[in-house]
Amino acid sequence: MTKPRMKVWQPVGLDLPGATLKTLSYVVVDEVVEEAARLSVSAWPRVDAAGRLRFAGEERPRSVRSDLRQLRTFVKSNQAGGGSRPSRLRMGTVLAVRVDKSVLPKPESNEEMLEQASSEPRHPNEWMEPPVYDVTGAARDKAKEAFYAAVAPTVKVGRRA
Amino acid sequence: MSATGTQPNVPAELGEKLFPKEGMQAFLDSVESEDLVYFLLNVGDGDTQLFLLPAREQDGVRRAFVVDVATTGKLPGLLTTLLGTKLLPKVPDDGYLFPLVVASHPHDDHIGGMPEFLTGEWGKNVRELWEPGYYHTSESYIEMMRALEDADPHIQHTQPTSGTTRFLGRLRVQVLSPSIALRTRFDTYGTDLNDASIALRLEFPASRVEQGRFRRTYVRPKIRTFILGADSLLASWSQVLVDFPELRPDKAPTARAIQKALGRDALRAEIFKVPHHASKHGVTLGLVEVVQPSLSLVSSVGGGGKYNFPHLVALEAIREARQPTTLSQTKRKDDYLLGVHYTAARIKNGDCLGSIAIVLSPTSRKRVIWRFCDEPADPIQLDSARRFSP
Repeated sequence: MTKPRMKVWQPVGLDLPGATLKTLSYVVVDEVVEEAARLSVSAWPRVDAAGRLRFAGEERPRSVRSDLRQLRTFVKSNQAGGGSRPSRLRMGTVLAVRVDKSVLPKPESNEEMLEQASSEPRHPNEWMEPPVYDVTGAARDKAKEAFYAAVAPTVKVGRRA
Repeated sequence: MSATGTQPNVPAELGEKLFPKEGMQAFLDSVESEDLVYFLLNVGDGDTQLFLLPAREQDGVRRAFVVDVATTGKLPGLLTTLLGTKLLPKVPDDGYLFPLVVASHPHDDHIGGMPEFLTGEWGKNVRELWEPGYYHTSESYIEMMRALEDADPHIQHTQPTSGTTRFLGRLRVQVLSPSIALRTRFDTYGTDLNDASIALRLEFPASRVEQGRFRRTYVRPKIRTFILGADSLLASWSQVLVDFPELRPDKAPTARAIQKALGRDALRAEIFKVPHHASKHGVTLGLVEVVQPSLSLVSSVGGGGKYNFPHLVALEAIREARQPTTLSQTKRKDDYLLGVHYTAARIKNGDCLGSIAIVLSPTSRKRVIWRFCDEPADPIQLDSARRFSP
């Protein structure tokens, strides 16, 4: 069976060539407890023929613990798109950034469980490579699309009530 | 993993004699067809819960109810292991093994395995999915909704709020949270994602009618109750206490009338799945005093880790509610004597106690607790079953 064709996701407002986007990761601030954050790190998504965001599907996102203060400093120093306000890091914020996955434990592996049990967060310098792009707005729109397309029929272009 | 005694929130290692190894056959033999079997899987700082409902009289087959799927392999592995045993001899003929699956809230440690579960073989057997309606930007959430879209129309989607009730055979499932007030704030960033959690109260058995020949009688059986707290935090529980007011024994006519109408303390529960991995933001002494659980179950890595779950102050709240110290200075009892069990607990030889199963009878006080000695990344082996024998 041939795999359906997909395009690299091009978030609104992020004007980078597809070849560059493919090298980035999709990093979500998934959970925040006081100054500790869990980041969910996925390969850069593609878009299927229906316009849906699709992730690689070969493995779960990698889970990385971060100190929110360190992350805030890192993002502030390395955020691309000069002039824009620094990202507000909260649950749901999405960063597009190049990541060295080789230093991150594989999902659902013993190493990941050991990292879960470790009290030391990873410094962003260890695994993120600048620049950092904030794509939260575009990602939230895709999340809303995913939700509504799942719970109600989509309508054809031009058929909006 | 963490070493006992190095931190006060690391569960104490327990004597091996408390958990004699009995193996798969003893575990299977401990379950009658009318029993409810609850599994709390050891997935580290995360939640995966499975209920095997009592076998239906019509076909002798059990249905199952799932609350959260944190990882991809563990739950499908357990289901595959159970399939063909007397606990789950086959998938029901109507195909709906899972009349209900709940994705409590869209954090990876609760739905990280949900896309694969819904997309895989077991997903074909899901009839209804509950999720709170809080959209999240993570891969797990977006792929879960994509799986739901692809499953249309065989999976019914529901966004429940407090009070929503579903009867699954002899199990009554009632939503405690999110309240409607919290729900309407989701879209404004006015609600913490954890407070969007679907917290549940379960009652077993739900049956109230005794059927005879030409005769039916309304009965009030002794019920077993669970509260599954998901990751609900203070804002959520404060709303729950408004929606489900505590009814302390009171002889005032009004209180007696309300109590009669509602049956019993609305939040009291025998089994309390402690919210948010025993985070200090999810548990208060007042809450545990209202619930009055005889069993409190903590799903976390057990000290240290990303967030240092379980938090000591939360554990102390549970202990204090179970053993108040206001009028006495007696030594604090061991956690297992207070009914506190951790997925991350270890026995003295260093083995993890891991996933928990609880077998409950609808007609007696039978309650059997089993442990399967699996680490978070390991599959559950029924052969490793140890019975809790205090």
